Amino acid sequence: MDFGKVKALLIAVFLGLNLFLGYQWWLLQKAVAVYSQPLSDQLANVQSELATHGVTLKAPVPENQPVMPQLHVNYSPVSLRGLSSALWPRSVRVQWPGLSAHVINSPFGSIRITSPGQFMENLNPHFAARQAKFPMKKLSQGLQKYLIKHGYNFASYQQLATYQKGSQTTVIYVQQYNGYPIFSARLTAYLSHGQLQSIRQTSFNVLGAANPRQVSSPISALLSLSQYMDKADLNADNTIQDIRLGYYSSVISDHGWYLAPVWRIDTTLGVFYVNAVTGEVGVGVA
Amino acid sequence: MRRRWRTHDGTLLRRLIAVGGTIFLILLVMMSLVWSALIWSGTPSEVSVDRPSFYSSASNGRLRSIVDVFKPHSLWVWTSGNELFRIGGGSKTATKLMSQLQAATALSLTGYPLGRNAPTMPPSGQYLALRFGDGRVPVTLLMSLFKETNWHDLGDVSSLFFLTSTSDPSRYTITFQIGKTVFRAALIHAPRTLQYFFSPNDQATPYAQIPFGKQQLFLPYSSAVMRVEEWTLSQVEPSHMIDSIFADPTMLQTVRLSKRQMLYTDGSRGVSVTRTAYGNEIDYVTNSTPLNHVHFTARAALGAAVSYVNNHGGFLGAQVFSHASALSSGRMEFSFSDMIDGWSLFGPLDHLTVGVASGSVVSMSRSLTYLGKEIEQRKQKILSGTQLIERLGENQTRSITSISLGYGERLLSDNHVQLVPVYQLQLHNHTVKYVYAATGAPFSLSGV
Repeated sequence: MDFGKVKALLIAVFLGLNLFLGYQWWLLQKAVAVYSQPLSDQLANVQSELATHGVTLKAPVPENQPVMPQLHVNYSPVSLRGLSSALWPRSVRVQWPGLSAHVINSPFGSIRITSPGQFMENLNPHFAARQAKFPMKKLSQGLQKYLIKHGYNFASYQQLATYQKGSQTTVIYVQQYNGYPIFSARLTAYLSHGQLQSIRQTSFNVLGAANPRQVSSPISALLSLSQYMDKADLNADNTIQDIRLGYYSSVISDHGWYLAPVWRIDTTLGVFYVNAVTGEVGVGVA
Repeated sequence: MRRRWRTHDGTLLRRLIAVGGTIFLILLVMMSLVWSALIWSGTPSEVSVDRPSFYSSASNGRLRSIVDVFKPHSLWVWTSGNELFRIGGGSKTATKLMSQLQAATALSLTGYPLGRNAPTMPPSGQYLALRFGDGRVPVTLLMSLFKETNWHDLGDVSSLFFLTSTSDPSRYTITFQIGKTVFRAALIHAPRTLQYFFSPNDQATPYAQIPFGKQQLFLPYSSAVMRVEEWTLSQVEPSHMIDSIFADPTMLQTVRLSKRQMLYTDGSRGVSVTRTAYGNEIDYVTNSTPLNHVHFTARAALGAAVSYVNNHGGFLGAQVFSHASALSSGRMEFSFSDMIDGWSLFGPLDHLTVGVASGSVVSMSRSLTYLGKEIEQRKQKILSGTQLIERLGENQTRSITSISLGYGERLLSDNHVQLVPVYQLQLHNHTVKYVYAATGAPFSLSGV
């Protein structure tokens, strides 16, 4: 065997391979160049990308990229007894229609368990007029004070959004896990002329955490959104009002389910949830 | 001495070149490893947006375009001699007609409110009608039949009629009814050969319009001959389909929902796989809230659905569009079903439903079992329309709203199915019954 010839052949092959791999690496660097730019440049690039789809960015862009897991959750069971003692004073006289009942009434209003882990409280208008009416200018603070006193497990919730339509106000709070909001575990307060009408609340139990990963940057979430709009041919005028990192899933089962870390991008057309690991975009509940 | 030195010099040089070559080769090998490592680790997760294509098992089904999928289930020919004929949507005649229509352009529509001066529906005189699926179709989907046709989203239609001008048979008009308005449009650039489709051919089955209560049933005029067919069943491996749906399969978590049902989810998307008597079925769901004030036509939504199916396993069997429904949630749902010899296939095989919201696919439900090879067939004479009505008797026929002829699925074993000619009876309470087309005896789709 002529080792000299074999060696020459191997040199030629590896030279070719190195040229090919070098070209591939150069292509990769070119493709990801946006991520090595300063944040302000990245933001400017993404803004111009979004502008091609009629989207204006009017929200501060967070800079954090923590490590977050997928959360294994199920509905946190609620009982009428537990709810009545949390929402109403102990001294109040509660009407118990029966052991299997899903609704109880008292002079404060009624509580109905709508499904496991979810309940709705309707406030008696006379009680609400005295105890749960807040001046419009200080509505948020007033409502929060009320819920600290009369809410169920309210300490684990944080405010997400307030929507105003004429005299009707809807304030949304979400349960949090390690300081990050769970966008699908909500406490929604419905008010009319500043007076609390009803509360709908959902609570989750976190059973475990899996697959911790460093989440993508909000810039790449916005880039994903731009590409999603490109693919879906979405070009209607739109404004981004809020960008937040948290957990969400629209896939729910009676046997427990998993929440993904997501970037929630609130826009005037709707709310987009961008998976903070895979970059997949979906439209979800506001 | 000089000669020895030269020899020595030459050997040294050769040895130096050999050693240098070895070092260079080692360096090249190491460099290739470094490049590979750089490329492997250098792909940032941020660039993954959505996996655009199905790569794990693309050969399961066929890639189709809207034109391939949006086909009529049946053509109806009403002759100048007042005879009615049905031609199957999957027949050669129907395929030829569809390709000829692609060359024609339908002009803008003119509406005529129903009344004395409005054109009659169904039209009087000779016509050719196209019926799509088992229900009504959005008018924007009809645009895809023609070239450069642009209509507004007016609503849904059940049949599209083609008429010829009495003075010039090569001039065509199309017409359909939406609510209390009849719409008409002229067809231009239609090939001259279009007129051949206004006459029945050997693929046409004579039909009768049988008065029935306040309505008319369309049923075979005479005892037609159909076939009883035996087919093998083919299965798509669920893992291929699951892998195609998730951007990062390493993020997959599983939840057992029941003995026969598993849920695969990454938090953003969920796929449940259910084991049935006919094999596996999958249901895919993701966020499905429609965007405010964003309207997509049914045609754009069907385009998104077809593209999604192409990228996730392709169309199995001979699936064609069968139904479109606009859901109250703002979603649009499209169903596709199989056709055999130009007749509808009734049963769970090859079923496919795709939901679209805001221009993106948000749900897909499909059977992973489909017809493989035909292994046996025999001819079978079926009951004519009047014979069927007689066999059913007054008690059974009282609650019928419509009757369709097709093939019912009868499972023989895990991987064999028999396709039997059956009449599908739609009843007043929205339930569906099947009877053997040969005898009128009750037929159960679950078979076995």
